[in-house]
Amino acid sequence: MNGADSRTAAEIGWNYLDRQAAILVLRVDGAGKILAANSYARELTGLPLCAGSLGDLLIASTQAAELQRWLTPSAEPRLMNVRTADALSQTLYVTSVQLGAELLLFGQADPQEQERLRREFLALNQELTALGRELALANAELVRASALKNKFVGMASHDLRKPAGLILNLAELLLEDPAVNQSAQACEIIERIISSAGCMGVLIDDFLDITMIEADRLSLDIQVVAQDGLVATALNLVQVAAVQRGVAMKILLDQSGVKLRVDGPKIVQVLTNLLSNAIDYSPEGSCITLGSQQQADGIRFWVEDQGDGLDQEQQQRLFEAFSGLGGTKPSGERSIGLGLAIVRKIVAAHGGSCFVESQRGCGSRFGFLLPPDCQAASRDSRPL
Amino acid sequence: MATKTLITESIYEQYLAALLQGDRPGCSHIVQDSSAAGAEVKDLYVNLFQRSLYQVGDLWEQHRISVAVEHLATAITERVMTIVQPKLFSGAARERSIIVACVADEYHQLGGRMVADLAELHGWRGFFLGANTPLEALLQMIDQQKPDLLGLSQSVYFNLAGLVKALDAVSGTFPGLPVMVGGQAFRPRWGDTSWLRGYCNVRPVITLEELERELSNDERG
Repeated sequence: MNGADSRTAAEIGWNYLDRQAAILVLRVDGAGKILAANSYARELTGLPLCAGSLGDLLIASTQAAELQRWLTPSAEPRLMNVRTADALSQTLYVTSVQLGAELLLFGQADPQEQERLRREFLALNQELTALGRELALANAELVRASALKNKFVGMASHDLRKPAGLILNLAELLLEDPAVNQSAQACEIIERIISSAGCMGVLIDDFLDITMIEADRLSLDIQVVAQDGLVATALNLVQVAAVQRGVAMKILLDQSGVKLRVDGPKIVQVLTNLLSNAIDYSPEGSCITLGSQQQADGIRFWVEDQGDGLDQEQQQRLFEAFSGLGGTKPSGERSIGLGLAIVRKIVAAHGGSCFVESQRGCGSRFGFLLPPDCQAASRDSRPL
Repeated sequence: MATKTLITESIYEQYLAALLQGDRPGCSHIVQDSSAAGAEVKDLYVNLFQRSLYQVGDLWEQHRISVAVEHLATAITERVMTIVQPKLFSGAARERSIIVACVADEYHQLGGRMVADLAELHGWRGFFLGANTPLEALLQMIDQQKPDLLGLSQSVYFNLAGLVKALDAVSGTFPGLPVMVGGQAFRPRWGDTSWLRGYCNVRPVITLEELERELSNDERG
């Protein structure tokens, strides 16, 4: 044997097509039965193909309708979307030749189309990563701006707290001074100063609270406390405001003696904020109800008023900070809209959630649900 | 680079192997682990990303890997670079800015992106315009942002005509603007940089190590 290849050029060519070429080659009979398939066709489809049907290659939904078309010979390349082993499909441009009773099919991908696809995907990836870079930068700037804002609000609020407290104390001293409190007009003015300084103090406290919360510095001091004690403390804190506004308050706890595992002062702050809001928005002579109910998914607290109620649009943004900015309470006071944002953050820190149920003209019910792990065994509670 | 590297030879070899196999999760893990272990962004950029991509480029040039493998390696590198982005941007105000771009018909943008990122780390605002930036868009951006420096990245040497056109236009329109050019196209065995001397405001800064030195010297004033 001298090593010379005795095969004909046609045999070598067919051998190449059968084993190596990235071209699909099929021999099918008049009914679409596959008589032979080359290696590329089998690898592409992941099917043995021989003795199978040409329809097996086609996308399932079009098999029956399409099969007949492919059994007609065509020298013009026709687009065939072939099912592939990786469950994606592949587009081949297929020509076919009639050889007696058999049909010979050749199919290949369009290299220009593939090149365009590759180029576009690369460009797309580049654009996305460049956009991602811009987003990361913008995000870093926003985070920094937000932190600076929190710092400024915190510092400003802290610095304002002292003079606001001083105004309040001095005005209260003046009211007790016989040289001043002889005049009814002077007393009225001083009482207005006291009331305004009190409001300013609440506002400053809200700013400080929200600043701490936004800066992720809200830490909970979890203790076992009595539900009744929390409710009583909150009611005491808003009692004067309720009397001044001529609003009655009713308690509706479904069970007394319940113990909670919560940060007591912060839950009191939540209840106080909800009660204060209800008082602010209640008409004179109406009644506010503070209730609680134990449920399978936790313990639910709510404050119900007989005010004007809220429409859907108002309800959607209620628990966001500054959602009430620019609004005016029925008392004429401006609303900043921090109270409910603070409520939401404190409740969320306990793993709970807030809700509002309201209809225009039918009052509102604001509340929150604390998860079951906020309930404690009914021993070992400490007074608030 | 003068700073101590945490990218050991073993880490590099593992990363390169994953990169050549198109193993995106594998590359991500190596970058995440190295970053968590304290590797600085500069260290990752120079000793992992730049080094591996230079090697991928060499393998491509020697016909030892396909174009598809090279493109996939580039795309994976672009993706894993985003892992260290939180370390990159401080959000602080910047006094100086640099625009980095690849000129028209230059489709390899990774080097340019690394330049913009390293400039950020050195206190610059790094505007990155990406691959294949049309000349008009580049000139418009310079006019709008008025940067202190322009960086043009070139990876393919036989594509220098686009760079020459851009340098002519930039030098003519913004004669006072300093320009830095660099990238794989200027690595020693490719092209020389002597022709850049024809532009008075243009200087070559070929590698990330050189860029680091330039930026560090600049900081020291």
